[in-house]
Amino acid sequence: MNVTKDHLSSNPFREGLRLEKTPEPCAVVIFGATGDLTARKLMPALYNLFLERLLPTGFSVVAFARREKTVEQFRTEMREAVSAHSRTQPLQAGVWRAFAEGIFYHRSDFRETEGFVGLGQLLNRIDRERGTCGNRIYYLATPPDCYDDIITQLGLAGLVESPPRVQGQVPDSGPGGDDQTGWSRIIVEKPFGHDLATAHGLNEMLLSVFRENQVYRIDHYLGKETVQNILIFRFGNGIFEPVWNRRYVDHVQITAAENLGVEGRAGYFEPTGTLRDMVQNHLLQLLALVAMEPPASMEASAVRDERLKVFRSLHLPEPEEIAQCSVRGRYSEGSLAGLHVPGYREEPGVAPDSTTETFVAMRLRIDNWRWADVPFFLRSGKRLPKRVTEISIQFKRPPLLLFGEAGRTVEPNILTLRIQPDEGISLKFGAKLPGQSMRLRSVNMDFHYSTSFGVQPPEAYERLLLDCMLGDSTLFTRRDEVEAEWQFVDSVRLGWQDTSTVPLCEYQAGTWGPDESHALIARDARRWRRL
Amino acid sequence: MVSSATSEALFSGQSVGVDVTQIERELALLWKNAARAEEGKEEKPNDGQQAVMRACVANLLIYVGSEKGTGSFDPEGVAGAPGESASLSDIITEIVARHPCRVLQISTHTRTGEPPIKAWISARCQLPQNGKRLCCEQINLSVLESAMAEVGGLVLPLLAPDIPVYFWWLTSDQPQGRYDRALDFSLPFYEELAESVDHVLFDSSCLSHPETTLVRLLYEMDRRGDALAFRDLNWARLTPWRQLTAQFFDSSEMQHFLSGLESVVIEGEPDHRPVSQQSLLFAAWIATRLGWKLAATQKSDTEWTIRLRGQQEAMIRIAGHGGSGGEVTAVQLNSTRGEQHAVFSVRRAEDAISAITSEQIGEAASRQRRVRMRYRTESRLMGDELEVAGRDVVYEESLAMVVRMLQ
Ligand SMILES: NC(=O)c1ccc[n+]([C@@H]2O[C@H](COP(=O)([O-])OP(=O)(O)OC[C@H]3O[C@@H](n4cnc5c(N)ncnc54)[C@H](OP(=O)(O)O)[C@@H]3O)[C@@H](O)[C@H]2O)c1
Repeated sequence: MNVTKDHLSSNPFREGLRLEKTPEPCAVVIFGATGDLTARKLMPALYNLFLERLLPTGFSVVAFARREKTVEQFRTEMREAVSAHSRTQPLQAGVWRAFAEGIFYHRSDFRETEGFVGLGQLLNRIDRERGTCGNRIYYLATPPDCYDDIITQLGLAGLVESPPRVQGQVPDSGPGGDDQTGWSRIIVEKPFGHDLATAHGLNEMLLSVFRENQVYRIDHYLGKETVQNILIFRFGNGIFEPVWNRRYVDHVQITAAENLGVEGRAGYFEPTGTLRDMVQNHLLQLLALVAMEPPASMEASAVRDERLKVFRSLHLPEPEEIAQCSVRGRYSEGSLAGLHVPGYREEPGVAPDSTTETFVAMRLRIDNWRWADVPFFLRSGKRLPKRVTEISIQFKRPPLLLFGEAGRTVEPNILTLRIQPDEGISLKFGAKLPGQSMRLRSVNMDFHYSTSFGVQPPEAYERLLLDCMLGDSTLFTRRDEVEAEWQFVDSVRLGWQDTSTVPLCEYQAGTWGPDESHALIARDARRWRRL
Repeated sequence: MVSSATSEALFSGQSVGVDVTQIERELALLWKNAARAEEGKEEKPNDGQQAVMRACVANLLIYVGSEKGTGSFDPEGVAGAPGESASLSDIITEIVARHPCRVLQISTHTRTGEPPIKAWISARCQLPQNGKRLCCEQINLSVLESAMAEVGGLVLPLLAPDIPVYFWWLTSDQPQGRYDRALDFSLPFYEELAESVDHVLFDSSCLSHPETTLVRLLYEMDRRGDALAFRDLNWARLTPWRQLTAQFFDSSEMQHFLSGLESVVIEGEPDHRPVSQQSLLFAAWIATRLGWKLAATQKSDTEWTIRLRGQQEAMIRIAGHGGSGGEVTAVQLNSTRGEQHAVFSVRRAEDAISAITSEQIGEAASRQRRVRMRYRTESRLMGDELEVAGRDVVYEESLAMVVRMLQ
């Protein structure tokens, strides 16, 4: 039984219920549950889903980590973590108690076979006692170097093909023999590999144990409401799609700026850098959503097919082109919001001779009929003046400027999709300044989510966890997508090997990146939007 | 006329009486003053005033019926205009915080010495957001009963164009005034406005004569078809109950128990009557979803037993006891498939913010969980209803079944 949505539609009580879907009872096994991601994101997300009545009876969590801990200790820690990080406040004691009853702690090292045998026994017990029907999600919330061990051990312990359902729970076998066993799925966190070869290796490894339709590769940007809204905006409205092409669009800018530095995560960031950390996944996914063709349906495979086509159409820069289309930078000391901040190389945990980039700007080409000759400019970096992620579509100027001098002050039309913060959409257009003379000025037509919808959107992780439980993989990255993304990133890295062609340029913390970034876009007679 | 000083008073929550023929002009002036104040602010940024932003995604027409008390109104007062109790004012504030609306409130009176229609305008503002106050307009109309026919012509031009129009019918059917009957479709301006309204919102828990009112409503629903959607807050209160009931049967193996469903027991608090409207709606929902037909209804003072026919005979028992809020407090569904007996239940917990669901299959130990089930305030319910558009066919079918049960 894989597509649980089908069952929902055959439940007569669901008809007309503007509901929120509820998945089948299942157990989520979190590997690395004593880590930061579990405390800050996963537990608060699961608790909020439970609170909103979106999780089924019997829903259980098995925390798998190597520290010695009693289940009571772990539950207490998680209670504190959820109190601190949940988007709904305060924590509801009664609901928490009910949720916590379903949390178990399993201590083992990822390399210990017995640990996984024990995990199997615990899951069987949970099936019997809590009715989770052999349905499992394995969540890899560990450093990537643990993936191999975990996946191999899961396979060896026979935990991927779920055991037959406990007798007595199934009153009558449903359609298809498949119903006798539950499903198992695996969620893999970013980073997914380090380059094409390692991503490919990881895929091979995963797929030697799991089938592709069991694998859910997280890109939490896709779980954000505003990112999902890009498709609604494009394909749910009739007026934008006709101008969404090379005939009307001059160029596209995608910015993902952070004001933070490495914030104690140098161990992760040093070997990674901005190109891998931000561009390979988040920025390329945003690019795909903006550039893709309308999918045949909103089914996962149809949407992912279209995203993939965008990646396949990306022009892979040759090493000799790379200096023309990319800039990398590293922040030096500076000041941000009135505070003095150290340079990247002075951050704790960063090598004094580090060559990791904290800023990337690029000019991309999508070689297809819709976008030929329309440049896509991407930039992302740490310690920029503010935290902002947005996509802006800049339209061509009118073919003829009728208003002489007066018309020159008008900027071209710009449509901006703001992803975070202050989520919204705005359109810039020219208007006449009041008065006798013909003077024009650019004005903004603004839509803010917060002023039209006064409700708090769910966290990305809530949506993604729920979708995985329901077997909906639309918002997850498919194998071929992730490899196509890496192929592009690798071609950039190859060009960067020779440090003299694309040097690592310094920029002062608190500025919008190195001067070379401005020069990159200026070569195309355009400029970065002032944000 | 709205001066800059009155504008500031308006933005800080007071209402100002205006000439009925000049309402739109006065509102325009209000915003103009705000814009001017903002321009001034750019020159001297620290004068302590926040810029004002106007927001409007819908029109919310509220009909409150006859004004309580004397109706004499103090224009300097902060909370509410005539006919608007402090609690209604709070409710509106909460609704517009979620859905910025142009609010038009209509009340009636019988004081003949005054002009037949009086108007007030006010602004409802939210706390600064990005340094700007987000404000919505409100217009209150106080109408002499004998002038009610004029209301349609007055209100229509005041609706903000091309956005949805919600009509909240707030009267109960215990009349004080001539036009206080809930869902009285002979209300002088109803016909004229209905063309421009998208949704009528009301609360069936306030009906003291549901037999007649609901028949009228069914007839009106049928007459209007897709052009006008009726939404019942009492039905909205059932949403978590329906959701939790539905959840039992999401998996294919549990769905087998639906065909073996033999009896349902619903417990609820009384409203105007021992067996509440909400309990009846819930029973009717279960019956219609399962395709059950009504066979017989047996009514005693505090308990109804409803016999139904589906694939097999079934029974729904509704018992009324406890408080007086009219809310459902528990439901239990009993089913037998072959040798196996199953019991599914949802029960409101004592803490009043959660519910306990339980399922017991055969001999296995029962599985329970506690989930959030907060009491949803009227403003919260209204906010939820304003999020959805269009008719609710499942509600309409359930309502038709309630009417059959009542007869
Ligand atoms: N943190 C974030 O905000 C964030 C955001 C996006 C993606 N991610 C990704 O999510 C993953 C987890 O991140 P994190 O920040 O939570 O990592 P973390 O804080 O370093 O936690 C790692 C966890 O793995 C466990 N572990 C490591 N080696 C083990 C072994 N051999 N056997 C058993 N347990 C072992 C640790 O257990 P001990 O406690 O016993 O050491 C700990 O629970 C990473 O892939 C990261 O890139 C994290």
